[in-house]
Amino acid sequence: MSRLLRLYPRAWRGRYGAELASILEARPATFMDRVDLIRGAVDAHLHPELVARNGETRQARDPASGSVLSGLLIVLGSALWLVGVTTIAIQPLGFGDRESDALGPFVAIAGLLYAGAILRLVWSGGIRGRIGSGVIAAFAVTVLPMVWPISVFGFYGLMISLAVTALNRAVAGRWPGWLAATISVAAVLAFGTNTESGSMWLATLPAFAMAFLGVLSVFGRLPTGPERGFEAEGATA
Amino acid sequence: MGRFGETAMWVLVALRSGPAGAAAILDTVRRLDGQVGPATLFGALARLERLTLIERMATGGGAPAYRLTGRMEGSVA
Repeated sequence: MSRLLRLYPRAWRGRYGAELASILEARPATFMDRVDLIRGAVDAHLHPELVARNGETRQARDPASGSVLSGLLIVLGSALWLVGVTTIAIQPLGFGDRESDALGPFVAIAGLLYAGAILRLVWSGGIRGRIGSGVIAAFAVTVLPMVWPISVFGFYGLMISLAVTALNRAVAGRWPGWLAATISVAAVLAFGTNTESGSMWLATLPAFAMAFLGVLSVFGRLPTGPERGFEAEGATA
Repeated sequence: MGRFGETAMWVLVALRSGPAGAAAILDTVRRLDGQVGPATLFGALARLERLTLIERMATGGGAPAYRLTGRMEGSVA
């Protein structure tokens, strides 16, 4: 039974764990009780604000407020992205070009920085953010080791990851819709470019967007959307 | 409140007669409402606490008890 209690968030266990364990010791759990405990664990992860002190929840779940590390990663990653785009624009790369191998270290560093930023956002986003963004982040990290495909897919994969992450935040009510839409449009434009088409400058747009976000994040000014969840639910109760 | 609403209502009824621990509340709610899972009870307690309809109180080393707040005193029929 203690294994089921481990499914609950640490903060939840800190507040109610001893009481719940005591009840389960005194009253053997039925099958339905076990199902209830699993559902309760999911609920506890979805509503961490229930065991947070007043004012603590928004800070903990906001992907950017106070997240200087995340902001710095995004700014640094954006700078590297711009360097990469410029490099490719000056010397266009095609499929199978051996020159693309020279970009490997740069791509690896930029990719790791982006992956770090994504994971940081995912980690601070609650379970709803973790599921969708985690899958995309895993995709981005998987694409990372490839050498020549990354010049075509890797950068865009990473940028789309960030766009999806932004959308995820918007869906979760963390970022305003217009901001997520801007990032998404920029990512789509970047995706539409080709390294040999002469329109590589479009690929700079997501970098500027992410750099802007990063700066806002560093200074803790990232705007947040309306909070959804129990507070809003309770307000209408 | 969602699926916790009905249990929360029974918790309020259970606390009408005075402060009680989670175990006692669970027994009362089960008597009033049939089989209620322990996690559902704590989900309801957490939400009621968040809405400041009930509050937790220390009991001198034992398990904490819950009681109605001033917002609810006299409101539960």
